[in-house]
Amino acid sequence: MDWSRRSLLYKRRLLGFGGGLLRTIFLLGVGYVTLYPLLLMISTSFMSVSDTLDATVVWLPSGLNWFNFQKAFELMRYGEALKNTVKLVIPCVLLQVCSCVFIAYGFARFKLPGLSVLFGLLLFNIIVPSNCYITPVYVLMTELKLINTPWQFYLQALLGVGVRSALYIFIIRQFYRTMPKELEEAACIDGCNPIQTFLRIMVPNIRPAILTVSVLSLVWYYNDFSMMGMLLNGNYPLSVVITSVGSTLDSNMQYLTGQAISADLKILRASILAAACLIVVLPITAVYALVQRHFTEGIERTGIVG
Amino acid sequence: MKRKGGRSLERQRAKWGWLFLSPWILGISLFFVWPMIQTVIYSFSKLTVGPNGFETSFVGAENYLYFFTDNSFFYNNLVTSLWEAIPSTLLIITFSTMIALLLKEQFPLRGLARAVFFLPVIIASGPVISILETQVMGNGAAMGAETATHLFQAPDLTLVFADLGVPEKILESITGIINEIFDLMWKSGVQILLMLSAVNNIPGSFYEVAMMEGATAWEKFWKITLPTVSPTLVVVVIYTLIDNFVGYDNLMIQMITDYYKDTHYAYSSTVGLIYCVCVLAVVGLVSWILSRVAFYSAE
Repeated sequence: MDWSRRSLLYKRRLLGFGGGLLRTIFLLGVGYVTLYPLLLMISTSFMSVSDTLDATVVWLPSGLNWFNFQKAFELMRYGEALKNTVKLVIPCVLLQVCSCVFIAYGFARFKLPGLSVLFGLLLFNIIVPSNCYITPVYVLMTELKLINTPWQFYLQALLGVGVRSALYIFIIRQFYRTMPKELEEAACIDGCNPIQTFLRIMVPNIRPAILTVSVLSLVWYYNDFSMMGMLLNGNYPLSVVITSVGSTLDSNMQYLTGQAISADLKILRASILAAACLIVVLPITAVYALVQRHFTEGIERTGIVG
Repeated sequence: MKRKGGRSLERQRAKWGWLFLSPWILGISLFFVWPMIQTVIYSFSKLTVGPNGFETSFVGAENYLYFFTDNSFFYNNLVTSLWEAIPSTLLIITFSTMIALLLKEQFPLRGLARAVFFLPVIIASGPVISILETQVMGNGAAMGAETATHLFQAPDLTLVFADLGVPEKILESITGIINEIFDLMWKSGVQILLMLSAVNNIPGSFYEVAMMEGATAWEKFWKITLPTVSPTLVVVVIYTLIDNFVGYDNLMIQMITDYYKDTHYAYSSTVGLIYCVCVLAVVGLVSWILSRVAFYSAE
């Protein structure tokens, strides 16, 4: 009896240790594979042509070589593109988060005739890809004289139809529904009208959801190149500029050498592109690094699903 | 008297409700419902750019006929982009559930691990990753190949298998699957977090009971974890499907964008409309099936 119990204990301890080890190995492997493209990007962006051809140089370049970054900066007109990005993204995120928090309350807490129809429309809006109906939006924006200006995106964000707005409205609605009704009833008895209840009671209480949605909104606006590429004509943000760096490089190189691109130039091209990618993802990654703790914990604790 | 007061209160509340919804109703009608109606009209018309904007002339089902009879790419692209979503969704949910279960337990550097697994979302929703994939990794002499189509490749592993005498055909399909998995890991960030929140919300008492009854880890997974997280799993499946259908690298989305950029607006609208109906049908069907299978605890 005693012996068997002890053996069971050992077995369990051994299993626990083995499991921990297995998990560590597995997570390390998966983590490496996940980070691999990024590591490669960083390493390639610092490589000079001779480094790339040198078989002894695998990950670490022989020295910090800023040439690729210099070229990438020039090619993308980085400063200008970054300014365009900030001008587009920051107001859009603010407007989108405010409007989604506001609208979602209407969906969560009021009994209105026809609300289920509207909710169905919201679900449709989540599912249907926005590229499917881009042409009429383009026409409409032209008629409103907003085409090629940032205002078209501000307007959409404000009216709750920005990039993935429907999804955020859905998420925040789920969150509102988990809150006890008594809170609002108490506020109502104390003489708050629904707007006051919303501002003083509901908004402070859904802070984790607001943070989650803000980060997602920032990321998706920052990375969106499809919508912005289609509705803008010049003054492009970083996400659109980066898509054409490759072809610009090609035409420049062909112009310089007057012939097909040689192997050396190909390597150079890849390194400059890697540098360009690095400086494009750097700002958003920095922001994410600042807020990620609150963000991942926010999603985890609250659970988007509700 | 009392009842009348109640009713007017309700009516007053409804007014406030409409106030909250009003910006959205304006937005959805201007930028979703109206464009959708226009898209339907465009798909039955020939669009020409006149002095005052677009001019439409009705051509019947000509655009549809073009795609269903003349254009050989269209049908292939449509079937591929709808069909490919299924295996990748299955792989993504398996992968994210697995990672979530691993990240659930307390261990050192757990926060860092979570940050790393969500990092792809920050980058993968943008254009950078496809540039890295197609233009940097292939041409960088590090990989040697002309063009790489996958984010992570295992040349050494392939060599090992080749040395062991595995036939080339089988080897190719195996490495193809492995490379595919690496690509999918880059698309699982949000899903991992969703699953993590679901796994963390399972009451500990469920597992205590199971332990008392002598359940094995395998049984615990199938009898407790899976049923409890199944509502979240439904959300994750639908999210993944939509993500797949809306993604920039989706063949149909590319087709729509290309037609738009080449100013073939009528074609762009037609493809968009057909695709949107297909996506709605698939998502609707899947969520209908899943909602019957999923286990919702009585609340």
